[in-house]
Amino acid sequence: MITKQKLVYCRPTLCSGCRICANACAVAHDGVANPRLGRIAIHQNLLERYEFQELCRHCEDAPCIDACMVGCIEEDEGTGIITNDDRCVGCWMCVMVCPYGGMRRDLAKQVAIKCDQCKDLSGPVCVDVCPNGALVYKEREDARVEPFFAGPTVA
Amino acid sequence: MGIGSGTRCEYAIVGNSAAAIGAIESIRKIDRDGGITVVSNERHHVYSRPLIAHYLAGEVQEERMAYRPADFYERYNVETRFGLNVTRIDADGQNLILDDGSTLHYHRLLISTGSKAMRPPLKGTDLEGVGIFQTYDDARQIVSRFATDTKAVVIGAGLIGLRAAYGLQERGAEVSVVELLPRVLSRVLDARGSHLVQSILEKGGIRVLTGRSVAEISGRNGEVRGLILDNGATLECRIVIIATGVVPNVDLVKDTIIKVNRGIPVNQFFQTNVSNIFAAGDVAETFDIPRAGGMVNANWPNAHEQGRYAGLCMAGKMVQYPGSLGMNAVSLYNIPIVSLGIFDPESEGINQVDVKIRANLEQNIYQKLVFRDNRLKGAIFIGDLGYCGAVKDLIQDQSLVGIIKDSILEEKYQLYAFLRKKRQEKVEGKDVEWPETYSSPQRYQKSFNEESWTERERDERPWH
Ligand SMILES: Cc1cc2nc3c(=O)[nH]c(=O)nc-3n(C[C@H](O)[C@H](O)[C@H](O)COP(=O)(O)OP(=O)(O)OC[C@H]3O[C@@H](n4cnc5c(N)ncnc54)[C@H](O)[C@@H]3O)c2cc1C
Repeated sequence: MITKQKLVYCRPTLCSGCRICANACAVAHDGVANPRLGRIAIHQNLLERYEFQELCRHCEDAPCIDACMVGCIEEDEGTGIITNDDRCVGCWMCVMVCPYGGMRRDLAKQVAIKCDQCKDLSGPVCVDVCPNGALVYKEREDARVEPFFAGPTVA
Repeated sequence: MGIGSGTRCEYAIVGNSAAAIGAIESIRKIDRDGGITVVSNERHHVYSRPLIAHYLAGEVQEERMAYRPADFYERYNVETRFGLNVTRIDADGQNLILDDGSTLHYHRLLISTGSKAMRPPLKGTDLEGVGIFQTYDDARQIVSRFATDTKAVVIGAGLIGLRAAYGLQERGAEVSVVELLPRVLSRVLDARGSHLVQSILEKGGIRVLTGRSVAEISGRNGEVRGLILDNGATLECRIVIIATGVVPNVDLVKDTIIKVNRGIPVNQFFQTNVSNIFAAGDVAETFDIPRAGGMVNANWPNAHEQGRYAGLCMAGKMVQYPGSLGMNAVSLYNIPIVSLGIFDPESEGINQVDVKIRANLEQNIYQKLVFRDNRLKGAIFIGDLGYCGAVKDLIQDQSLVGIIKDSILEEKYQLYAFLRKKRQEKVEGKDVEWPETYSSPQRYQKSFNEESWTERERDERPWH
C-alpha cells in the first residue's frame, strides 16, 4: 500500500550496529541512555557482522490496534502516526501480533513502547543522530523512485 | 409482532464489545450516515473485558476501564440501547425483538454476542460469594466482597481462571486453584509449558490443585464458607470464582434459520447462511489458518479484527478475511506467555510435524515452534518472547520457512536476512525492482560466509 505517509527507513548496508539511534531514542522518550528502551531495535550478529533493524511501520489497519485490549494504541487520523499511551498494562498482545517487531517491551515498567516518530519534537531523533546516514525520514512513495533507495531499505 | 411498533435502522449490532466496536469504526469509514443501533444487555459504556482481571487486581481503576473515549457513540453517530436483551431474531421480517417488548427493524445485522461462561451443575453455586468472571459487574461484585485476609478459590485453571487467581492475589487474597485436568492451561500450552507455568504460580504463592474436582460448595446463612473436593478434603474460603471454560454464546440463534455449529459459521465476508446477517468475534466460527478448517478462535485481537472486516462488508465493501489464528498472550509475575496456532500437535492428532524447542527452565524460558510441510503451524513463547511477532506473521502467511527452521529460536542472522526480505516486499510492494547499480560509499566492510547461504539470498544483496 502506497500512501503519502512519512516513515523512517533504514539502509542496512550503511548501518554499523552502533545503536546510537536506540540510545538517542531512549533519551528522548525516557531520559536515559539505554538501547533496550529504544523504540528502534538494532539486532546484531557479531560473528557474521550482520545488523538487523526493527521499528514500527505505522501500518494502515494496524494489527496492534486490533490487539490492544485497553484501547490505548491509537492512530492519529491526520498524520497516520500510531501511538501508545500510559494506560498500557503490559499484556503483550500487541507484541504478539506485530509482524515488524515494532512493539518493544519496557521490562522495568512492564509496558509496551513504540515509535511515535517523535511527534512532539522537530523530527525523529534516530534519523538526526545516525552518524552513518543509514536512517532516513521520507514519504513512503519516495522509496520507490529515488535511486537513493536503490539498496534494499528495510521494514 | 407488528413492525410499526418499533424503530428501524440500517445496521443493527447485538453485543457491545471488541467485535461491535471494530464494526462501528469500519462502517463509519464507508457509510457516514446510515443509522447504527447497538443493543447490549450490559449497561456500561464499552469497556475492555480482559481488563476486568486487572481491575480485580487493583491495577486499573474505574476511569481507565473504558475501551473507547466517553464521546465514542456520539462521535460515530451510534444509537445505543443498553440494558436490553435481544430475545429473538425474526430473520424473515428483519426484526430484532427486545425484552422490553420493542422491535428494531434492520437492513443488516451483526451478531457479536461473544462467549458465555459455562456453569457446572454443582451444589452451592447459588450461595453469595460464588460467581463467574465474565463481566465488569462480576468483577465489581467480587471487589465489593473483599475483606482483608480473604481466602479465595478459583475453579478451573484456564486463562480466565488464572487471570482471576492472579488478580485476587494482587488484591491481597490467599488463593487456591482447583483444576479437573492433570495440568493448568491445557488449552493454551503443551504439557511442558503447563508445568513451567504451574511452578511459576506455586513459586508466586498460588496453591494449585490439579486432577481434582469440586464435589460441593458449602456455606452458612446463604454465604459461601468453603469447598469440598472429590477426595473429601475441604478448602475454607469466602470467595469462589467459577471459570470452567467459555462457549460461543449462540442462545439467540438457536432454533432459527441461522445455522449453528460450535459457533455461528461464517464465510470470508462474515455472512452467516442468511446473507444480511453477519457474525463476528467469539461467537463466529471462521477459517482457521494453520488448521485450514472452521474454528472458533475466541480472543480479543481476533474479535476486533473480525468486527472490522464484518463492518466493511456490511457497508458494502466486500473485503475478504484471510482467516483467524488461535492466539493468547498473558503475563504472570512479569513472565510473559504467548501461544499461537497449533502449539501441541500430538493432542490434536496431527503428525508428521517437526518441532524445535529452546528451553531454560531455571530462567523460566521455554520456546517451541511447530512446523509441518516446511510451514510454521504454531508456537509457544514463555519467559522470552523472542521474535514472536514475526513468528505469528509467518504462521498467518503460511510462508515456506524451511531454510530458517533452525535459525528462528537461535536468532541467527539467517532469520534476519529472511525477515528483511519479507518485510521489504511487504512495505515496498512485491513489484519493486531494485536497480542493479548502487553506488553509495560502503564505509563498513562486512564479511560473509558465502558457503552458508543460498544462491537466492546472495543475489539479492551486494555482499562485500
Ligand atoms: C476475565 C477475562 C480475561 C480475558 N483475557 C483475555 C486476554 O488476555 N487476551 C485475549 O485475547 N482475550 C481475553 N479474553 C477474551 C476476550 O475478552 C474476548 O475474546 C472478547 O471480549 C470477545 O469480544 P466479543 O466482541 O466477541 O464478545 P464479548 O466481549 O463476549 O461481548 C459480547 C456482549 O454481547 C452481550 N450479549 C450477548 N447476548 C446478548 C443478547 N441476546 N442481547 C443483548 N446483548 C447480548 C453480552 O452481554 C456481552 O456484553 C478474556 C476474557 C475474560 C472474561
